[in-house]
Amino acid sequence: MKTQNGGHAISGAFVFLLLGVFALFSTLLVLLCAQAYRNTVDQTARHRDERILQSFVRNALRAEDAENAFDVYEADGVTALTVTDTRETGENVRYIYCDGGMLRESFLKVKETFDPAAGEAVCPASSLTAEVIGGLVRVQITGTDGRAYAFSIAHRCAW
Amino acid sequence: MGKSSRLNTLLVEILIAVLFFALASTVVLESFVAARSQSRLAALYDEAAADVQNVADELYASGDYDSALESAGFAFENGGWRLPREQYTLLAATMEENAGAGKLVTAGISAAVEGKLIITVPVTLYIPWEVAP
Repeated sequence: MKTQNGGHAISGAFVFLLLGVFALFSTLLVLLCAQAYRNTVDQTARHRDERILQSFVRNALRAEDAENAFDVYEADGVTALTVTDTRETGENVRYIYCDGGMLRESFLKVKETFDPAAGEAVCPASSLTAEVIGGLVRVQITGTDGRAYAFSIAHRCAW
Repeated sequence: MGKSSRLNTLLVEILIAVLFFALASTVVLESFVAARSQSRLAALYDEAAADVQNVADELYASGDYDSALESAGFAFENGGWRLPREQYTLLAATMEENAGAGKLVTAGISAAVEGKLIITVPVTLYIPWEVAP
């Protein structure tokens, strides 16, 4: 009788031990998977942001690819990449710049004064620097996470 | 039903549950690993494509492909230009041919991951003899 009672106690303890181990491994698995999921989502978001920033600037420049159409404008500590459109009757300038943690664009007539606060927000970005060297525009945009994306865009029609 | 029998039944039930969850977790883990590696590969392809595009634009702007490739860090090996990056290799091949009143300068910029080409961007310029260097 004593042996039987002892056997029950061991079996009961084993069941609970098994349950405990199972619960522990389940928790570890959930944590591991959650971390992997978070990493994947973060990485995807980072590359999506990079793609949006790059394609926005590339498309803006490609759309107005003409001789002397690109320039860099600095005012009030804001660096703006300017794209001048001379195809229409009046000259229009598109300013692309970063202000207030956002990449912004502003369409103005040549004679109008550039006001960074008046631009339309496009997507989050913390800073933009650009230089125009001959037929090449070098742009560096820093994302909100501090990562810098540098890319070059060449004139196609005015080489 | 005796106490011992009830305990054995509970043990078997728990074992079946553990087995089922172990099976499910294997499937879930496999999916997560696949998603993660796919995401990393997509990021790598993205990075390589952007790099190739940048080199192509630098070539367009310079007009002199060989010196532009050299200043970008490419090395001429085995009849082609090569620039190893951390996770991929940039390759470039250039060609010049006479075409009527000028010359046609062509280059192909590619990115290769583990020997497999993932993207190629062609760069072609027609330079009339009057402006050719």
